[in-house]
Amino acid sequence: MHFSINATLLDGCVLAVLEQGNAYGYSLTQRLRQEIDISESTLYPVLRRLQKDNCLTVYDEQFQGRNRRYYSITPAGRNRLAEYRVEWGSYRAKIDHILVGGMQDG
Amino acid sequence: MDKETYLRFLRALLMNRLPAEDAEDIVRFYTEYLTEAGPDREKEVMAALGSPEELTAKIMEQRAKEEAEGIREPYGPAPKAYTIPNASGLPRWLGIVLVAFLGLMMVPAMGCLFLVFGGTGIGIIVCGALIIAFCAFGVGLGSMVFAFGAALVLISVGSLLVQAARGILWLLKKAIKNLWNVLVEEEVSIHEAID
Repeated sequence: MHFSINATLLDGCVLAVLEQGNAYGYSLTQRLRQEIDISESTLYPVLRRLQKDNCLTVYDEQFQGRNRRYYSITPAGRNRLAEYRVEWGSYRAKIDHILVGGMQDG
Repeated sequence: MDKETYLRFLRALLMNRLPAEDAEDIVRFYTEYLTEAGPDREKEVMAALGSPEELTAKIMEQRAKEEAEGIREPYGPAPKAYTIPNASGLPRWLGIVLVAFLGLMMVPAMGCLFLVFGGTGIGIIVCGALIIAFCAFGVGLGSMVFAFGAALVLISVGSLLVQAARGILWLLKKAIKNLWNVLVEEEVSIHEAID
């Protein structure tokens, strides 16, 4: 893979997964790792940053006698995700235009 | 390196560099992360994360980036030479003294129990064997069967007691080994370059 994912894209991907339902750190990482090549240590700073920006909240739940910290998307997080989706749409269109369309009519 | 040691090292390394609250939060995350990975994947995940030192370096690099972007306030003093404590947090010499002391206290008590159980057990087995031996000299058939049964019961009880005595020895060994692990083992000195 020649393309790398940047921090903003990663934020968007995490928010998008959380939009599908709450998740804990390990499940979230494994979910993303099914699609993109990120390391096991990538997600902590992302989650921490999103939490600081109030895009997600955490809560603890007992599971088989141990604690699981779940992450849940907030309304602010949904707004940001919506913004990212719009931006991504136009960004992708531009790149497509150059990379795929060859910009012949430019 | 097992999970507990890994996390202990990570914690010590981070505590030396970050505000306690941040360090605890990170260690909490990875504690949960490794637990969720489960015994099967645990080693693999630790390898992917890198050694505690490597993971710490990654975390600090990320943090420096965030500081540069103004997301975070810069924090504190450069790391210095220090020692990662063993699980109990006690100095090594004190751990050894404690293990020796507790061991000395345990050995006589456990030893007595061992002797009582073992001695009684062997005694009872011998009684059973003697009864069988006497049976050979024939009393009536009825009392012979009865005596033989009783002897078998005695031998079983005796064997159980001997097993219990062995169990006590095993417990003693285990207890001392665990004490050693918690109080003394795994203490490592790290002398980091001061940046």
